[in-house]
Amino acid sequence: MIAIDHPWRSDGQRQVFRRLLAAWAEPGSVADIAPWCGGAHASLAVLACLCDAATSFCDADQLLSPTDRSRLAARPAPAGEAAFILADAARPPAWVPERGSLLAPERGATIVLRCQSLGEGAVVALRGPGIAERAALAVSGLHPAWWTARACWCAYPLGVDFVFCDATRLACVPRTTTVGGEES
Amino acid sequence: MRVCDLLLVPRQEVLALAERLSAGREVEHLVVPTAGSWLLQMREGVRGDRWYIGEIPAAQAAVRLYDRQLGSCRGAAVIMRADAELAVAAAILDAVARASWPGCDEIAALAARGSAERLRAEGQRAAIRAATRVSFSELGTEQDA
Repeated sequence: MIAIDHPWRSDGQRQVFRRLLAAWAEPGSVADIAPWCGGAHASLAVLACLCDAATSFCDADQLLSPTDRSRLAARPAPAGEAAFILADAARPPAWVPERGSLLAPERGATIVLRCQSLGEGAVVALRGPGIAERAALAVSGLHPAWWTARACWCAYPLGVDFVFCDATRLACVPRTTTVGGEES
Repeated sequence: MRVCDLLLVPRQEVLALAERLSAGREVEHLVVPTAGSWLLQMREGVRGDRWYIGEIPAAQAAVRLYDRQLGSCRGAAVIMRADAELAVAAAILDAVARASWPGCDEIAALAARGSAERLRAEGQRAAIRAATRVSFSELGTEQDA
């Protein structure tokens, strides 16, 4: 009677969560989560494993259907207050997210950016914890204003964490990572 | 009709009726059916402090049913059992009953059986309580005498 498929099945959400943890540990690495997306966009699979009734969520660019928003079960909140934000990477941010405070830096928002493709497009150099020397992340369909805004938002330990998602893959850029400008 | 009374009839009967009434209809889950334990929070009456009385087993479901002729209807259920399948069945029956779709009389009959069971159990408990009743006014009279 319960005919529910990925990304809403808990076994698949655990697999996505493992890939997400690995991607956080190695900023810029790209993880394929297609088997647990169930045909949905990877950003929905990521949100499905992160959100529940105890979290707040903002669909800044109205990318989700009402049913998917309802299934996430997260409390709707404006972008400036939400713990998790889903946004279209092609549009520049028109809001300022929660950056946390020195007493509660964990309240900094996690921003899930829906982009065209990972591994293609403009390349940025990444440095910091989890990266041996330097890593490169290529994201196509990303408005450059996101990197500018991130530089303003992040002052460790305060800041925001980025999760880039294309149709089936994800890559993470936590607040600890230094983004060293565009490469060739 | 009280949906909670449906849970007092055998589980298989509820599942079978929900299966039959959802056959040929599309069932869309509006929330992910979940089962587990919920922390039950209470508010103390004097200072208004919140505290946790304990955990209860619970499951929840919310569905939308689509029927080619009748359109769509929605139903939901939160039950005090860690049984997601039963919560989905109760939500389907809630949807059909609320929309008065064909089959709602069967749901009402099933709920009436559950209601009779609830009244019987409440009667039994009332009888047990009555047997332990103490009249304090009579105790007072004995002392005065």
